[in-house]
Amino acid sequence: MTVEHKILFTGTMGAGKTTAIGAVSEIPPVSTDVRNSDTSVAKATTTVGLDYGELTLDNGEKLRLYGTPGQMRFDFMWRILARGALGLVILVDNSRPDPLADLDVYLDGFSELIATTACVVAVGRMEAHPQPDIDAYARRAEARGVLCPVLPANVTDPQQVVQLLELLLLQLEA
Amino acid sequence: MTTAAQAAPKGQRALLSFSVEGLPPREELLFKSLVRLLDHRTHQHWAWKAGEADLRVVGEQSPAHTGAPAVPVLAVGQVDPQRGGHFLALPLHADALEQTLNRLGAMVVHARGLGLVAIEAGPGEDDAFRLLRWPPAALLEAPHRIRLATLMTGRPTSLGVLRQRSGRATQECLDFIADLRRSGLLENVAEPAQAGGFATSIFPSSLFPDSLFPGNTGPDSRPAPPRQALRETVQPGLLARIRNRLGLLAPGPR
Repeated sequence: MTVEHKILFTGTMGAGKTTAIGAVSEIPPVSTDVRNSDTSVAKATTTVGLDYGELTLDNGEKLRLYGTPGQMRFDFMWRILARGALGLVILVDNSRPDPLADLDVYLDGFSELIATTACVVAVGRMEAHPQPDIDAYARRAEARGVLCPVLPANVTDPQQVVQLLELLLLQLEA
Repeated sequence: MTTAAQAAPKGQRALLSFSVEGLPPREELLFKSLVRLLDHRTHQHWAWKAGEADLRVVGEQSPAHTGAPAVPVLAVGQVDPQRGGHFLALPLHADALEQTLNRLGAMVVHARGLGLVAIEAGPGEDDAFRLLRWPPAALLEAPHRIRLATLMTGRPTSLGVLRQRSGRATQECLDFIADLRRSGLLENVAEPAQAGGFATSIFPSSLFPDSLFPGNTGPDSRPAPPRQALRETVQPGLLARIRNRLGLLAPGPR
């Protein structure tokens, strides 16, 4: 049986989960998008199930990349996806009304996974929306008892997505 | 007012610390905020630190300080205490604060160069320490520092372990450790740092039965195992294979 491993990308709707997976996946990301009915977010479609991408390792094993549904009403899927994951990338959209509260949602929702494996917080759209700054996110994570890398990221750049994954690996190697 | 052309490159700036005592909370908050805002202009990088620092900022409510270490004192208030020292008048003005910080920063750096200020001894090779919080962005301007900090997010580490895992030069590790310590982000711990063990760990194939998604859809009520224990169950060689697939170099000699 083929051994499989997985890394999760989570975050709010529009934070870039599908984009991040597509930036590094060797297959076009499989998404369960539907027409977006949330008029507060300027997206034509949004992910209600999950995104999926994959990488084939040199021994034939698969590294599966899952993007979780962003909305809290799908949080029952977060726990399912989290089981056995190697690590978690939390994508935060700094243009949203209260991005620090968004971070809280995912730190809480994935607290068991974060406590047992690697986590990175990546904050997007900071060029146009510099506040809150990256240090505010670090303090917020600290207040939640989480010590993990917190950095700005543009997930449309594959190199930056690779960097996020490298930080997960470094934590696992430490 | 300095110009951008006069400002020293950020990577070459000294990291200095300041403490604040005796200022009203609002003025203390404003002072710290202004220092952060001016960070791209000041010749040194200034970071607030509780306790002994390179510069003492004192307000009018500050008690008399006896037996103080030889660090400059900056009085901040409505009226110059006329002690012949450094003074900033309230309300604070960014230009005046910038000039004062640059002047005092130059003094501190010069005093360090003359050996007039005690420089903290670096950690021993095996002295274990723990990172308390993800460092501020000002300390992470170089990419290798993000990696070093990441390596410190787990169990306690030491200079030797950090150098081994990162593959970075001893001086780079020492500089980063010193900056973290000055910012109050490191804590000494009694337990010895562990040099790996990860590479020799064994992965029982049944440990992650649900990694073959989709799996059991019920909530997992089992208590989470310790972070370190679960990390050590990752299949040997897996992380290297992922690195290889992503085109990443190994983090350092192991």
